[in-house]
Amino acid sequence: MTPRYAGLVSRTGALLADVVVLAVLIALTQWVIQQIGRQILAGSFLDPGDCSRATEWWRIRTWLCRGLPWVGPVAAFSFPPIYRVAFWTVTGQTPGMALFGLRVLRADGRPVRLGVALRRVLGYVACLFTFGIGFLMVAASRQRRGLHDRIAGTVVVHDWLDPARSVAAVATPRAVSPLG
Amino acid sequence: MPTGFQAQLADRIAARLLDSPLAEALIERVLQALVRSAALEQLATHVVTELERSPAVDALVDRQVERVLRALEKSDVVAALVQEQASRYLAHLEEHPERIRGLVQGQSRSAARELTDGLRERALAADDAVDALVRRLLRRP
Repeated sequence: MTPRYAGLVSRTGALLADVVVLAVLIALTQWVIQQIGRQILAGSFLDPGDCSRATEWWRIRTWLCRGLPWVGPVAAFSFPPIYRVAFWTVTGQTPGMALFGLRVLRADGRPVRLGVALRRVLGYVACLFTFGIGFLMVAASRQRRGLHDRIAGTVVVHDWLDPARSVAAVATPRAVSPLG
Repeated sequence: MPTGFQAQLADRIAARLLDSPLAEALIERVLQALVRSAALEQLATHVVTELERSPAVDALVDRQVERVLRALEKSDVVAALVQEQASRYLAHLEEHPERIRGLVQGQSRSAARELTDGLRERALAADDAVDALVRRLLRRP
């Protein structure tokens, strides 16, 4: 029983779908926070009769003025790893992976835990440092494992044909090879 | 020309023959033979085929159907019946919207499933194609 490991095209497709989801999430968060910030800056949330807060308010206003332009960059840097770690840990697949019927598993077929997910994200960073060669390793590996998969000890399988079969197949001793 | 006596005699003989069980058996055997006969079957098949092919029969049927449809179109009874059924149907849908909702949801779900299945199948095939290409480039078996 051989699992259907996900190849370069499926994984790139899932990655692009996730980029779209993340872009929407980031843009939405940025817009909501900026709208709230602008409302506060415009003073609409202030009670003009409550003078005791005025001193504090000016401090908040200054802080908001300086902080609002950073909302976008902070969201753009923090959302992708949080999004991936959360989805890999909770469901074993990001929405993009779910669209392509992919699931990330540990090399022994068990589901991904928090530590493994964090290592995998670090593996992504390592792949970026290798100018994407780490990702391209997927195409050259028998188990279709990229650098990030080797660092985290994970595999990505097609689980849409028969989910139980994919997980069971990964769990067979032949598939646990650390060499990929 | 037979005389009156001869005619009477012939009628009586014929009546006696028809009343006799022998005549009945004879008629039955003749009928059975006719039913079993290939010639009769061929004739029947030929007649049916000719009727099927006949433009005159076609035209007759068309004319009749057209006439009936025209009459139905104008019929107040049919209009009332259709209106009543439509009202009933709409009332039923109003009372049980979950059925139509389920139907619509089911259709959208199956359309989405078809779309994702197509996408996944294409991606899977592309994965294999890329693998084959890389294997060829790296000269791997």
